[in-house]
Amino acid sequence: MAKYYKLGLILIFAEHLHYKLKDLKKIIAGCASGNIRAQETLYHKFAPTMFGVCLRYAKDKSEAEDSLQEGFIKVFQNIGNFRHEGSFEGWMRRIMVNVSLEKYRKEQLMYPVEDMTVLEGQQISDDILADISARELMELIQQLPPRYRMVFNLYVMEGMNHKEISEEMKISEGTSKSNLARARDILKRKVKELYREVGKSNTTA
Amino acid sequence: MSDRLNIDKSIRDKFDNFSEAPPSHVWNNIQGQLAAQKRKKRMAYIGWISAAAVVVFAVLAGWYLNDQKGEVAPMLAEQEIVQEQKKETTLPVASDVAEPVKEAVLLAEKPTSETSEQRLNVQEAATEQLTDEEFETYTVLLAAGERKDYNLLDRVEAIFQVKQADVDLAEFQKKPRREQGLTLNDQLLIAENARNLKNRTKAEHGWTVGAHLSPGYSSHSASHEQQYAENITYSGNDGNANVGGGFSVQYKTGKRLRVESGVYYSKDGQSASNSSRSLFRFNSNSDYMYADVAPANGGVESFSNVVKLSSEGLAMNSTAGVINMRSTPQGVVITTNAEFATSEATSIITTNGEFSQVFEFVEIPLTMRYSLLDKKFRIDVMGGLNAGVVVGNNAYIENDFGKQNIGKTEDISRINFSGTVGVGVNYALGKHLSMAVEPRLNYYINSINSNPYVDYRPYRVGVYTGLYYSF
Repeated sequence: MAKYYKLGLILIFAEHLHYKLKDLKKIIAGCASGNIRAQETLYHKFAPTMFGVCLRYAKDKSEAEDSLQEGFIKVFQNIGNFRHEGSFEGWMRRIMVNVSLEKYRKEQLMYPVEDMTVLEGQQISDDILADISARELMELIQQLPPRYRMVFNLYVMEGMNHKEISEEMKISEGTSKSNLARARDILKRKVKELYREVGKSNTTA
Repeated sequence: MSDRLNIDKSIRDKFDNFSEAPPSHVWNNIQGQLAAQKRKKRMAYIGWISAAAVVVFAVLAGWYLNDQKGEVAPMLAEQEIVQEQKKETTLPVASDVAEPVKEAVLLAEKPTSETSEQRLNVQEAATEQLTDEEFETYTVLLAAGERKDYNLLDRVEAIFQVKQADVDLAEFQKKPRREQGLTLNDQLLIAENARNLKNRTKAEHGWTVGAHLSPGYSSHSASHEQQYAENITYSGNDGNANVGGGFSVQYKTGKRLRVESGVYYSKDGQSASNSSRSLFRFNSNSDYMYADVAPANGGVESFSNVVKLSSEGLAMNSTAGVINMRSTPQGVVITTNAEFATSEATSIITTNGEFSQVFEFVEIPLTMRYSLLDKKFRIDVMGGLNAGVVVGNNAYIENDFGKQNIGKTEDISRINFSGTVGVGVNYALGKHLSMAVEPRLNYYINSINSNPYVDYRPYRVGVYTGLYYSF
């Protein structure tokens, strides 16, 4: 009896998954033909996740909002070209990353190149980055200088290699490597500082 | 190293499930922007459709006018052509000449590329007060929706009112930075608007290119020496309808003044079908009676005229000048009166059909135009001179044997000058594209025939209808 019950559950789950996929396909088709309801459904379905992506690439919330907005406009403009070959979420995410990159490229002209000197001092273990919560880490990432933030995101989050990053950002591979190292370094220091502060406030409390 | 990879993975996993609900205004902005795009697309459609409509209208008008050929019923008339006698003239039909319509090339409004593509160089950034780059950063915000823009306009207006009414632009540009109580966005928006304002006032100079068709009516004024006129083909001053066309270039030299040039093509000509059956009706000399002449009510137009036979061929006096025929056209009968003892043999050609004479001009205009009103509707008055190069000069007889080119009119000057006056209405379809309808009169100042016996000046009234693209 229990066996059948299990099988039933699996079937229901499979059905549900199938339904969901079909649903998404329908929504995408609706968006492609310019249906406002479909666009709204799609937006509400994916906006929170995509906002998470944009936040990582932006210096603050309002910049992330801009990216999200621009990204979704691009999504709706190009959704007709989506061929259902890869994951739709991955496709959207790539658009958000591209919008953020574009923004960065435009802005980088305004910022002087940051100096590359590696901070002196003791090496901190990378483990420290694993311990911190996503929200906390997000804030720290946002505080990074734009280029470090970009390299860190592209390498760690998108899993790009330095060659790809160097092409995307029009920098040399060496620069990409050193920027990543520097980004990690800054992040680790900040995490450490954060812990120290937490520790302090704990003791004073 | 693998340790580091693990850590990267753990960071990635951490963020994989990370999501945060964006504020609701983002969706509103997206919706606004999508709606604006739709509107823009629709407007572009409307622009194209109206452009196409203009061309179709112009072509149809040309067709219609050309089709009126022969609608004027041939009138009975008398013509006695005898050299010793004064004669009654005939009242024949002037009809028109078929005309190829020159296709106008439409100039499309280029889609304005999003500023997001632009790259700006660093030096510029250093020199500008509120840098362009900053604007680029906020283009998304600017594009966010018209609602925002209207608010912005209101705000800018308010600022203008609070300050003295005539804020100097230069001054204005400096101010937003010092403005207290305005957000950075507001300042940027204001500055953006100021920049637009600057651009708008800057548009005192600029180029416009256009293509047009001009359905119109051409005719001529002519006078001849008595001796020449006696043997002339008769063509009433009925003129004919036809379609011209061309390209034009305008340069805006001042707020209201433009200089225009271009290349136009136009046609002028007339046709004649003298009623030969009555030609000799009252002529006592029966020798002139010719048996093969078309029956009186056959409905077939026929043409006859006095010609001069010589070793060169046949010479015939037409309204615009002497036409030399090297050989006798097919279907044409020559009757010679041998009984008159005049120094020159008098001959008459007769055919069932129609004689026509066509001149084609390529005109290079140089005109000035002045805008009486310069809003979405612009009203221009214009005037100027054209150099008209005669590129086509042909005479035809069209009868049962088809349309035969019988030769050309002699003594036609290659280059002639005409004056043009006109009034035009121009309607802006978009930022760059506009449509204009402009009636013009074009009158040749000199006789295009250099023969002292002939004074022939074509004129043409045309409705120049076209599309213009400004940049």
